[in-house]
Amino acid sequence: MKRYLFICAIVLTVAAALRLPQLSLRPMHTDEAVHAVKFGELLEEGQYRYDPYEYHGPTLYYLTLFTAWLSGAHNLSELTEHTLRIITAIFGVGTILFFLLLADGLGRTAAFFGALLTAISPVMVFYSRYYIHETLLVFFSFLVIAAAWRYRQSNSVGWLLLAGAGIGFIHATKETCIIVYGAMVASLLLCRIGKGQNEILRGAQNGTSSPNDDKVKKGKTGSIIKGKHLIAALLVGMVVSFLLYSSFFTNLQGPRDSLRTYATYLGRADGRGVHDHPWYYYLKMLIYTKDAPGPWWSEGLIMVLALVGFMAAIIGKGIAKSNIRLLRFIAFYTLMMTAAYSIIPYKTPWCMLGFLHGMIILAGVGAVVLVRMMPIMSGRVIISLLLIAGAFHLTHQAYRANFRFFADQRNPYVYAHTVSDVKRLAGLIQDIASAYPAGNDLPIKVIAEADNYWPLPWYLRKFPQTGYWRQAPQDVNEPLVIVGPVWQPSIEEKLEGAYHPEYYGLRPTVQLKVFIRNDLWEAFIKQQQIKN
Amino acid sequence: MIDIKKWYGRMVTVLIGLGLIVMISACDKTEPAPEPAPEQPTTTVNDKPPAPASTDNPKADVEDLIDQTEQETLQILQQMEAELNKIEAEKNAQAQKLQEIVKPLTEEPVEELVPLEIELPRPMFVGTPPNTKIERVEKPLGKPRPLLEVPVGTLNLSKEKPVTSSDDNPIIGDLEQITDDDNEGIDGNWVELMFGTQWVQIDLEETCEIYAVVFWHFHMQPWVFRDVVVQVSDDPDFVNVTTLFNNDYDNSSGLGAGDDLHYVETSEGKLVEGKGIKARYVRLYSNGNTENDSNQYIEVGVYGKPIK
Repeated sequence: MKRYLFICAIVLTVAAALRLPQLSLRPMHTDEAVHAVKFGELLEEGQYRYDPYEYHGPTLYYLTLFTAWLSGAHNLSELTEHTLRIITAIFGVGTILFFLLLADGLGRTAAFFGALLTAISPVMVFYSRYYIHETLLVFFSFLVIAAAWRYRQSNSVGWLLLAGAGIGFIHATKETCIIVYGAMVASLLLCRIGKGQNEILRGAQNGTSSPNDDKVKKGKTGSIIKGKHLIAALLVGMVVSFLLYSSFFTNLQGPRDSLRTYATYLGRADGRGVHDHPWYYYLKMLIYTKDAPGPWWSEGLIMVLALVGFMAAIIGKGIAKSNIRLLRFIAFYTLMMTAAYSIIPYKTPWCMLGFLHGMIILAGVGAVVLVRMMPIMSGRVIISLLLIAGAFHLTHQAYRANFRFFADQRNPYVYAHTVSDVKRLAGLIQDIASAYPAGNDLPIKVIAEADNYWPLPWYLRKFPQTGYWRQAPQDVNEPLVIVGPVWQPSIEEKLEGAYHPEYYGLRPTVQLKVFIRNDLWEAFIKQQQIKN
Repeated sequence: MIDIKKWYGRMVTVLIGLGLIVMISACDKTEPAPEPAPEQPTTTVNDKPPAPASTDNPKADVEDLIDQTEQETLQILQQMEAELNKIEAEKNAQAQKLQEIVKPLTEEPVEELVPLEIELPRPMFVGTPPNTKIERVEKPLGKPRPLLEVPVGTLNLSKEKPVTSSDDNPIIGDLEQITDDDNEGIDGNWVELMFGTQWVQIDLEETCEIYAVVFWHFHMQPWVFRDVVVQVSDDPDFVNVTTLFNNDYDNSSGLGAGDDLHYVETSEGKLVEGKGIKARYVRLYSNGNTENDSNQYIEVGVYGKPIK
């Protein structure tokens, strides 16, 4: 047991080593910046109102309050990328801990492999470092599965209440919770049906009858979960969800909006948006990606092992110490999740975390099955060595994705991402402000379509005199003007001669033009010359 | 009978008075209005002074006449001064009245000033923006670059010459591609170096006169490369250098601040004049670009003539 815990500690260390360092390295994605500014409102004003049209649930914002308070930040301008992203990174590491709760159900070795693959999966690591809701959703989903399993093993109501809380947190995290609920319920039903069929078959094979035959025929084999415990757990879930959506009773419209929102999201799922992709989009990305000259990416090892684990769960052979019911539940759950996310046209890469995590759990089982399948020791050694090599390659990809190609389009997980040049723009503006008499009260005009100025509100958060225009205003005489692609020709006509222009990238193919008034530019250059 | 001496005295008096008038009118008018002189007994020029009593001593008569003339002159001058002062005072009074009328129209009332607070439009929240993949698009200059005139016999000195780099193991391509005389912007034709400030160095294998360095970074998209610096030297370690181009205005690459402009990559490449500078080695620096942090090169051409 001690050795097992020691090995788990090593896995946790690897997970932390890939998730926690240099959280500020990658520039802020538009989505991250939007969430950051919304969190800033909660931090400054102490108020949060759930928006049923966009931006998902409140858990991310309320959880970030802890890190903000610890860091001493009181407003948006005092926040850093690290303060925000540390939350999702911690939850990403924390997800691995649930394998300990499932070790008796999956088998220790399978649980260890599953934990290891979660720690080193490039996709899991990459989005653990994103300030978005996905990692929290995976964490709470796995919490529900692990806590429910512990309840089944111990019959202790505390575990079921914890699972209920998890259900509440899932609802308060993201609207795609209905996919998670649906997959869980459908998997439970499939498992129950399967169990009933098995018992009928066994009875027929043995030719015996028992007082329980009628019940068996009807598929009723006795409740695993006590009714009152279940009700209590669901109540806990509802309370958790209500507390968060109502912003702790300050917005009673919130819980209602959390149900109204499905009209918006069902509309988004109908296949008419800019993020619509074919059904194989996620699977193709995971199997193999190589865009343009550059490295290739693959989580094919996980997918192959997951397939092996899935087959083993369905057939019920080679699973050694794994609990067949738990395995089948996870197998069906993963299948449902994969199917649901593949069918929905709206796709963004981070959405695959949910079903990928199910695949990873199955992959842990699959690794054990593959090794055990080898009849001779040398075969087992070869398979083990191949698995170790595969694990190293996944770790290398995870490192590359997060510390080398973190904002590069050749990384398949980089999607509609801000380029690093934006950080240089922020640095330039800070230097320009130091040459301006009023310092950070430098008036800045941002003129661009709304899609083409985020994440500037994050990077310009320390400049209170910044305004954002979606159309060119009459007066563009501010000392510093940032212009998006559409408005550049017309603004250039007005400012030519009196302003010094610079180019800065925002996203791939989206370039901003920054106009700095000549006197301010000269003062800045003089300042640079003195510094150097 | 006409008294000639008296008329003579009066004429002198008038002339002196006129001269004094001219002098007084040339004085500075900005001086504050003097206090009006005390009233003097008014006399006019035409007033006949009282006839002096006749005497029997002619010399005494002349002296008396002079004294009398002096007194009369003094009186006349004093009268004139009084008149002038009066006119000056009236003029000043009128000016002051005028000022009092005009002043309220030109001067603003003195009030307490506060900063003008303008409510600026807040950023509008948006969803995930569209994911645009890079496609092959070239941004044209608008017109061809003017041709550079160089001496007859100028050739591409860098063709197939050895290239070294700060990054010995480029992530894409091989360093020799940089001088293979192929500047096409197609897949697989560029060399990609690590992020941060990186350089490539071409050894011309002998000291040459360099007239132009023409180079292409990644030009399939209108990217702008940062901290582009072009230097030449006869020393492979670039201890003594001549900088031909430097647009690192904030010296973030530590090679000194430059004031050349940033430019958008096009298929024409960037031409930097060498003006015949003599050197063997050419080094080009960059530090990422508007799309990513990496450093890409498609081709570098060094145009000049070997020194014989």
